[in-house]
Amino acid sequence: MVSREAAFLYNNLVLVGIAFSVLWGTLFPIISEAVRGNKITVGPPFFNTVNIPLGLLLLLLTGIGPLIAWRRASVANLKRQFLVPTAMAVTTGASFFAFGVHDLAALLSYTFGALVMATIVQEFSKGVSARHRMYGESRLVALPRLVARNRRRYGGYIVHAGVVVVFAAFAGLAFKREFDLTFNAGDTKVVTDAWGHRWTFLSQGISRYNVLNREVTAIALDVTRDGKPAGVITSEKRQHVDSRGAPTFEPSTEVGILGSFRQDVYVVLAGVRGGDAAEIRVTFNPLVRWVWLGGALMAIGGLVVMWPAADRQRVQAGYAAVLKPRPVGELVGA
Amino acid sequence: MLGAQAVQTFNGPMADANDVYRPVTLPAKANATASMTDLERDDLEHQLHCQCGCNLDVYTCRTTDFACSVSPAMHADVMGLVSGGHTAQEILAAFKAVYGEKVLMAPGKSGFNLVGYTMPFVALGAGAVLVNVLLRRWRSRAPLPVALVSQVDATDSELAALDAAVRRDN
Repeated sequence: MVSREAAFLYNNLVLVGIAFSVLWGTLFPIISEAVRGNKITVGPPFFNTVNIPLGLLLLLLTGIGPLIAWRRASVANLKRQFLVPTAMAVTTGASFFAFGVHDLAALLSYTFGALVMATIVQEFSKGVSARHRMYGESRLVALPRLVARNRRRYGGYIVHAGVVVVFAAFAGLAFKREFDLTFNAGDTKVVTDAWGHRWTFLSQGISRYNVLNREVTAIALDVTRDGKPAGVITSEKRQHVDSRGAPTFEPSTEVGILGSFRQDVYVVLAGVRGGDAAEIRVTFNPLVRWVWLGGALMAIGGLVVMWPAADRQRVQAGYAAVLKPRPVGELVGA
Repeated sequence: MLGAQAVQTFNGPMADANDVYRPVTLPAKANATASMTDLERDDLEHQLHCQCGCNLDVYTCRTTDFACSVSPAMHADVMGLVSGGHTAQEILAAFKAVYGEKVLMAPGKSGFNLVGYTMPFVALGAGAVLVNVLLRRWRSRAPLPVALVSQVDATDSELAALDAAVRRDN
């Protein structure tokens, strides 16, 4: 029962389980009302409770699957295959714990992510080494040829790498920091992010103006990180109006964003108190860009998998037969 | 009249707070001091569903959308209960008593709600059992492995070509 085929099946089962849990959570308020007669809310805490364990299980299986041999794995094979990835996973988990990551979901996410990444590197490394031995290719030449020779397998590994990056980004929420600050014009506020950097926000004051079909209330903040200028962040509240100047729709918020691969700093103008005091919410969202990076990796892996194999088409063409035409008389007389 | 301090400056066509807001109060405990830090209070407000129809929790709504007058009012109630010395569980229970269970961002883990929390795992477990049974059945039907041949009638170059072809096809 321990085989790569079985791992694939269980992997797909978990994916279906995650889809089912979303459907179930969406329908549960209706079911609950039908059964008990009272309304309930099923919000993010419910989905986090249910889907985080399933997601972690999926990530773990993503790492385990490629390490198991096709058909049936032997104990010796399992030991040999699992040794390095397991060591990497344990080391990563212990390191993150030592550096203060005590959120269980984040810790498991990085541990399993390390397992998957080590698996991928091991698989690529073995393939490249095999080509290096068999054909005498340099490793730089062997790598693209390895991928080209078996696009489905190695493209799949690239997709797995994308999944790891996305999970790492999601786990970054454990380092999210939020601050509610009140600024009068010229006020300076200092806050510290999860990485220990000191961020200073200096208010340039509130401005109000009309543009086209909206009334805008905006605030600009001069930002420094550890004393070095990081830029100016502007956040706006926009109230769209109709031709008579009456408000239409709800007011919308333009979030000011200062982004980097480490974290995005969001500044939201929540409101204005007493004419001049701006209520600001500053959020440090770690690893947001990694979500995009992971998505791009998955797309690239998908392209590699789907790219047509020219070699196979040529081999199939070799089976084509040319029929020799028979004399007309033979056909008629047959 | 709402208990919250008026901080609304953006007057969109929001639902009237008086239609949905209901005061949540409890008598303050004797010699009461604040029962939690601001951070813990914010966490608590993440568990309360704003009743303005925005589908956000009270904390997120009041700090990102000042067009809403419901979340500041609910926040003011939370502040009053915290300064009255009430614990997080007591505050959640007080809100639940006034608004019903819908005021919680996720249903409590008791009674029928446990079906909601456990069903995905039960379904996954049932699926795993089914897959296991199917795998065993398929394996028992699989043909016996072909006996290995110790010697084949082929030259080394033919075997190498075959090996290369198999690897290409793998």
